[in-house]
Amino acid sequence: MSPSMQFNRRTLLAGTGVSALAMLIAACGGDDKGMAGNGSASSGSLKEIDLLTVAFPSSLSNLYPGQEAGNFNYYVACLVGEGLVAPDGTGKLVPALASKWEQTSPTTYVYTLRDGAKFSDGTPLTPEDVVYSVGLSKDEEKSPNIAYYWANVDKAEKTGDNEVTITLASPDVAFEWGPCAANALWITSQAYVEGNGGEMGTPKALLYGTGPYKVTKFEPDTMVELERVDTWWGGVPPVKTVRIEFITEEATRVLARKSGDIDLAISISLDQLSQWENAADTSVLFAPDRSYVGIDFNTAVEPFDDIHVRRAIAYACDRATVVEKLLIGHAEPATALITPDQISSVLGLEGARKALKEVLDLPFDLDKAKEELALSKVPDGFSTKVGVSSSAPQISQFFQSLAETVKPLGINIEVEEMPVEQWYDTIGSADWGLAYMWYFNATGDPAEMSSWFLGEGNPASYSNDAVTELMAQAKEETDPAKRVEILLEAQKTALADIPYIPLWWGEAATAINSKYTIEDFGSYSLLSPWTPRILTVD
Amino acid sequence: MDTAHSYRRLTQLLSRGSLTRFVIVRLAATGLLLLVLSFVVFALLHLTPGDPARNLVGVRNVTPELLQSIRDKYHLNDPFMSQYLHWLGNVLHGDFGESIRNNTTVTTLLSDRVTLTLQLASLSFVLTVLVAVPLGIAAAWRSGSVLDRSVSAASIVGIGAPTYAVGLLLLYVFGLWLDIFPVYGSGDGGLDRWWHLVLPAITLASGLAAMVFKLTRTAVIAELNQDYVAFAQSRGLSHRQIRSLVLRNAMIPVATSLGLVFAFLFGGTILVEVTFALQGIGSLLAGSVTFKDLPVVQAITLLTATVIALTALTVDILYYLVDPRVRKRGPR
Repeated sequence: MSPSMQFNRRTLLAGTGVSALAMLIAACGGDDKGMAGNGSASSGSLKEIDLLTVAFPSSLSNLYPGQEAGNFNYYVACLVGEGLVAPDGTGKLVPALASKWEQTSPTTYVYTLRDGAKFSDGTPLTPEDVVYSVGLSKDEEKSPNIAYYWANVDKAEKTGDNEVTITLASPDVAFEWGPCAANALWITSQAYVEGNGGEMGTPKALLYGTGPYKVTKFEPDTMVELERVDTWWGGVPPVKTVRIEFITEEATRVLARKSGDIDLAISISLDQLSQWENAADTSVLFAPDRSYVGIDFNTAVEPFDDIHVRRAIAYACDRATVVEKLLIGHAEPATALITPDQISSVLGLEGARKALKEVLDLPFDLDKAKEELALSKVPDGFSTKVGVSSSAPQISQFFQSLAETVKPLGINIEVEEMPVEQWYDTIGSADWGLAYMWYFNATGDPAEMSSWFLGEGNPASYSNDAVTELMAQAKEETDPAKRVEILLEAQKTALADIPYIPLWWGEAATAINSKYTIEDFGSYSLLSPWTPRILTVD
Repeated sequence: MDTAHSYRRLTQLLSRGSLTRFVIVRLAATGLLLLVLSFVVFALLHLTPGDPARNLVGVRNVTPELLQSIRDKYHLNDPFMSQYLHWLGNVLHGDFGESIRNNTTVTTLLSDRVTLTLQLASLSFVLTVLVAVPLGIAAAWRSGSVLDRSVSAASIVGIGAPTYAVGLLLLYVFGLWLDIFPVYGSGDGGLDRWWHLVLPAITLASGLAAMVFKLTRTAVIAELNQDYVAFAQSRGLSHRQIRSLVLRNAMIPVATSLGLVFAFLFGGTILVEVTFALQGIGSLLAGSVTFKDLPVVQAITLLTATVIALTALTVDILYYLVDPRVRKRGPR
C-alpha cells in the first residue's frame, strides 16, 4: 500500500458516522437485536480489498436520486456524493461536509463547511457549490423525487467564506434531515452540471461529488463501477473498486453468489432465504430497514367510516403469527407508525420498543372482533376488496390469512393482486376502503411517515384536531426528547381511532461472502459511505 | 424525351407483377399498419389504470402541485387525441420523445438495448438453423430410424419446457457446476459479449429449434412422397441430384417459417433477458408497460412491428427469387 493510501481507522469511522459508542458495544460483544447479523459476528479487521462485487435486486437507470430515488440509488449515491450532514449508526445526524451546524432561529440553519473538502478531481468545495446544489435539489423538474423535501426552504445563501445559511419559510425540525445524502442533498458543482448540459447521473454525466468514490463506468440497468479516490476528507477507503451488478431474477442472483461471482447481495428475498443460507461460503445478515407495513382504512368510505368495523378488523390481525410464520421471524410486530430505529438515537433501541408498544395495544382476539362487529352498522358482515402489489408476496399472504380469519364473522375480503404501479393508485383512493401501506422511511426522522399519515391529505381521510395540534407542535420542537414524546402522544391519540393498523416493521436480509462481514450492520449502515464497514474475517 | 423515358421506366417498374411494385406496395402497407398499431397501443395504454406521475415519485408524500408539474411536463393532462397527435407529430420529425421513467431520450435508451437484443436473437437464430435444419433433413431422410425417433422425442421436450426452467437448468450445469459460461450479465463488449450470450441464446433456441426441426422434417417427408421423386428415380437420376431437387422444394416452407422464427425471437426475449440479467428491449418493454411509460412502449412496439414486417417482406422476396413458379406469376 502506498503511503497516500494509508487510512486512519479512527478518522474513517468518525467520518462514516460510526459512533465510538457503537464501536465499544461491538468490541464488548454486545448483541443488540438488529445490530448484529445471525451469520458471522462482526469480528474482522479492516483490510485492503481490491474488488468488491455487489448485486442489487433491481436495476438503476439513473444514479442521481433526485431523478430516481429507489433505496438502491441511495446506496450508490452516498458513496459518491455527500450532504452537509450524515446519519451515524443509530440514526443521529453527524457532520459530513459541514463540520458543524447551528439552528440560530426556528427557521434559520447555519452550516460551517469542512476545511479542505474537495471534489473527486481535486477541485476544492466552495459555499457556492452548496448553494447551487440546494437549488438543484429544490428544482421540481431536475429533481422531481426530492424537490418536495425542499418546498419549505425559502433560500440558501453564502453567509461567509466557509458558511452557508438555509432559511425556511416556516419552522420544521424535520428539515435537519434534508441536507443529507441519505435523503435529499448530494453536493455537486455548478460548473460540472452545466458543462454536461444540466444532466446528472447518466452515463454521459456521471454523478460527481466529494465522497470517497468516483463513478468510472455506468451502464444503465446493467452495472455501475466505482473507484476510490484520495480526495475524501475521511481518508482513503479500504475497498479499491466497487462493482455493482443489477440482477433482478433472484434465482440467478443466488447462482451468481454460489459461483463466487458476487460478494454481497443486498436485500435478498425471504422466499429464497434457505437457498441463500445453504449457499457455500455465504453468511446472511439481518437488520431492521425502517420499513413499515400496515393497514390503511379510508375512513370516508363505508363501512370503514364505522370505528367498530375498523376495530373488529384490528382485533382479527394476528401480528405475532404473521411475523413468525410468513416472515420467518425476520420482522417485528408493529404497534405504531414510527419504527424503533427512528427514535433509538433518543431512547435507545430497547427504550424505543417499550415506548412504541404503549402506542397501540390491540391483541389478536377473535371474540372481541365479533363483539365489535356486532356493535357496528354492519353486524352481519360485509364484502370488500384489497389491492396488493405483486411485488409484496408476504402482504398478499397476510391478507389471504386475514380473509380466512374474518370469514366466519361474515366479512368477505377479496385479495386482488396487481402491478406495484396500480397499487399506488389504491393509496387513499375512495375505491379502496381497505388498503395497505408499505413504506420505507428514507430518513431517521421520527415524523417522516407520521407527518404524512397524520397530516393533511393523509390516505385515511382522517382528521382529529388534537392530533393536528400535536403534529404542529412536533414541527417546531427542537428538543429531540420532547419531540419524540409529542409524536408518541399524537400517535396514541390517532391510533385510538384506528385509521391505521400497524402490522410489522420490516427487516432487510443481506447475503455476503463469508470472507467478509459488515461491521455493526444496522438500519443506517448503507446510508453513509459504507465500504469502510466491510471487514475481512480473520 | 427524358420525362417520357422516366415515365415509361416508372410504369414498367410499377407494372403488375413487378418486384419493385410489390415492394413499394408492401412498404406502404407496413407504414399504414404501423400507424394503426401505434394508435391502438397508445389507446390501450391510455385505458389501463395507473398514473405515470405517481409512478415516478412512488410511495411518497408529495404535493398535488408536484404531481401536476410532472404531468404538465409530459403533457399527461392533455386530451387523448391531442396527446397522440403530439406524439405522432414528433415521431414524424424523428423525435421519439423522452422516457418518463428514465428521463432520457427514448433513442438513447433504446440504442444499446436494441443491439443486445439483436445480437441475442441473431445468435439464437443461427443456432436454431444450424441445429434444427440439418437434423430435420437427416431425420426425414431416415424416417423411423433411431436418430429420427430420438430427435423427435427430444423435440417434444424442447417445445414443452418453459424457457425460464431451461435457462436456470443451463445456468446450474454450465454456469455453476462446469463453470464454463458466465452466470449473468452481458459482458464487457466484443467477444466477451458473445460469450455471455451463448447460454441465453441456447435457452431461446431450444424451443424454437424443436419447432423448426419438426417443420423441416415434415416438409422434406412431404417432398419425398411427391410423384416427381419416384419419376426422377425411375429416370435414373443420381441420389445427389434427387436430394438437391427435394431440398430445394422443401426449403420454401422452411424459409418462410425461419423468417417468422427470427421475428418471434426479436420480440420474445423477455424471459431470457430477465433470467440472465441482460438489459435488452424485452425487459425494458415489460417495465415500461406497467409504468405506463408511453414513449418507450410506443417505440419498442413500433420497432418490433417493423422488424417483423421487414422480415416477412424479405422472406417473400426470397420466396420470389427461389421459386421459379412465383417468379413467373409475379409476387402477390
